[in-house]
Order: sequence, then C-alpha cells, then structure tokens
Amino acid sequence: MKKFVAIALVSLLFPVMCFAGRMDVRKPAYEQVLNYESQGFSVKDDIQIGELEKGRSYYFNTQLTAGIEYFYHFQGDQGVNKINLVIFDENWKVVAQGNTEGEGKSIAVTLNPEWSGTFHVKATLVDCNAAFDYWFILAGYR
Amino acid sequence: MNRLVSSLVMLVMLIGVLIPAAGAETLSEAEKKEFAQNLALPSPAEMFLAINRLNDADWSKVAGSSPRYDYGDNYVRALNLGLRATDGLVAILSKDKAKLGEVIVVVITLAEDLMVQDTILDRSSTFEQLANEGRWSELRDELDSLRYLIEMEMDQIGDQDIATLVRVGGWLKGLTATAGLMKKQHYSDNVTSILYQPNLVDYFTVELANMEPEAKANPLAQALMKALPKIRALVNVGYGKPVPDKNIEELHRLGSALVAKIEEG
Repeated sequence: MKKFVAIALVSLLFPVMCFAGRMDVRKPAYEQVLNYESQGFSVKDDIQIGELEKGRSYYFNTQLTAGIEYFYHFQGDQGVNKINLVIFDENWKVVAQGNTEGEGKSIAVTLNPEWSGTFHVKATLVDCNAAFDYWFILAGYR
Repeated sequence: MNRLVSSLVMLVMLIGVLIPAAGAETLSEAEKKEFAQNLALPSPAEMFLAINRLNDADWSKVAGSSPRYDYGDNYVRALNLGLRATDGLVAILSKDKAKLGEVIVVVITLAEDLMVQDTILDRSSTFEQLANEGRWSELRDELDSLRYLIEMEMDQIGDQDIATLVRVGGWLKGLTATAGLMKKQHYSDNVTSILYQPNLVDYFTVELANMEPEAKANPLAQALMKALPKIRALVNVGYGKPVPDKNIEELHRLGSALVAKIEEG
C-alpha cells in the first residue's frame, strides 16, 4: 500500500508525470512493486519513470552495498518491443545484464555485490512501435 | 604448411582481439560520462542491513538520538530531520519501540515546522501500529518512504536546499553509525568497503556548493563543506579494497563531532 501512496504522491508532486503515457506505466509499476515486496524486497521509493527515443539509453550511477541482494526491474510501455539492461561495476566490468528476446517488455536482474562501490546502470530502449516510448525502472534490496 | 598454420593461428588471435566476445557490452569514453548525469541515492538502511546480517550488531551503542526539535532556522531543522530519520532506522533494527516513538515525534515536528503537507505526515500514524505488531521490516520501509517524500516535497516547493540538507544529515548519520559499529568489532575486508563512498561524498559536495548563498553561509553548512574533503580522503581507498581500521576510527570521530554540532544547532 505504501508504494501505491508513494507513487501517487510523487505523481502529484510532479505534474509532468500526469501525461497519459506516464500514467499508463504507473499501473504496471505498482503491480511490480507488489510483486517484489511479496518476494521480501524493500522497493526503493525513487521509482524512475521516463521516455526514450528508439535506440537510446538512460544512464545512472548508484551506490551498492556488499552483502545485500539487489534487483533492478526495467519495463517498457505497451508499444515497446525490445529493451536491455546492463550493470557495470567501478572497473566497467559487466556484473549483471538482461535483454528481452522476442515478446516481452520487462527485464529483471539481481546482483549481490562482493564489494561496495558505485555501479553504473544502462537501460536501452532497443525497439518500439513509435519514435519513442515510456518506461520505468524499479530497484530494491533484501 | 607450417607457415600456413601459424598464419591461421595469428589470424584467429587477431579476430579475437578485434571482435569482443558475443554479448559483451563495451562503452565509449563519451558514454561512460553519461552515467554521472544521474545518481540514485542509497538509503542508510542498506548499510545497516548488511551489517545487521553478519552478526549480533549492538545497535544500542550507536543509537544515541537527540530529542530536541526547537531549532531556530530551517537549515538546522533540515539537517536534524535527516539525522533523526536515520536514528529511526537504528531504533527499528534494535527493535526499540520507545526510542522509535521518540524519534518519530521529533521527525514529524521538524517536518511540520518545514511546512510539509499533512497528507504526507498523516501516514506517520501507521508507525505505532506496525511497531505494536512487530512488523519491523515494513516499518523500515515506511520510515524510508516518509523521509523520501519529505525530501521530494521540499524539492518540489522550491526548497531544494532544505532537501539537500535533509539528505546530507541522513547520509552523515548513517556513515557515522556504521563506522561506529565497525570500530567496535572487526569485520572482513569486503564488509569495511561499505564505507567506500567517495562518489557520494562528491555528490554531496556539489549539492552543498550549489546551495543559495544564505544556506551556504549557515555555520553548519560551512562545517560540513569543510569536513567533506577529509571524509573523502578517509573513505577513498579504491574499489575492491578494505577501509583500514585507522580510517574507520577517524571517520567515526569526525562524523560524531559533526553530528553533535548539528544537534546543538
């Protein structure tokens, strides 16, 4: 329940998120929050929602802690055909990756960092029906 | 024939060098710089959870929390709100209902003084119920959500400096409490790397430097800006390396002094 309230409140705080496309990805985002919470994960509140042109990537850094299991869930909206997600450690070594093959609009990867540090996350919208489409990324830990 | 075989071997080796392994992801230098545009901040709960899992960490030794909430300006309130939200996580890990209750009262009072919407603060009524039912994991998430929403609201109503100070306060207390626990007990090399956070120090350094002149002139903000390079030097040991004991002790000393100064107002 709390994440639903969080998503709703954050949406109120961000008027731009009330565009239809972003509204559309909020429902599956909420469903995935429940899914991960049921698996014992604490889902982080800073749910990232955005839009990408076909073939473009969204990049971000994050600090991960050794001894914790993390998940990253990347999902596109209805018109998205293919996405991929890659996570690098500080030495630019790939530590987790996933991509959708054929049908499927979501990717989930988990990782257990051996050492704490800054990790680099790259989420790519490989293909979609329109010139751009909406997506969200959930992250959490347990 | 021998020359043909050796030429083929060389050709295969050359192809191996020029063509990355199937599925390997390579990044250009320009692309590597893109990552720095966005940072997803961790919660202090992640550090605490990693340590809590290793042994019977005695959280009561790092659970000190000031009950004070009557501060004179919003910058000091924001820093203390950050500290108290992290204290709340410690109280949850030590399953200390009384301490948690005290912390929540201070967090809510400080948030009210910062003009946070009632719609956000009303959610705090669930804390007591969750604590009474022993739902500690949910409590931890709930407190983290409350802190996050307060920060977001501050950002949205144009008080980015206040949001920054809440974040800095929470992070500083998390780092200090973690160093305090590590100081009291030996941990393996990779566990000490929990304190390896130079990029977070850099992030907060930039955020503090970008505050409005009035916020930057606050003596506590000044003290933080002065201390961050020292904190960075202590934690910047390199990826995949342990943080030495002497650095942990100094980090705890430095962090504790800053926390005490913030609590004094």
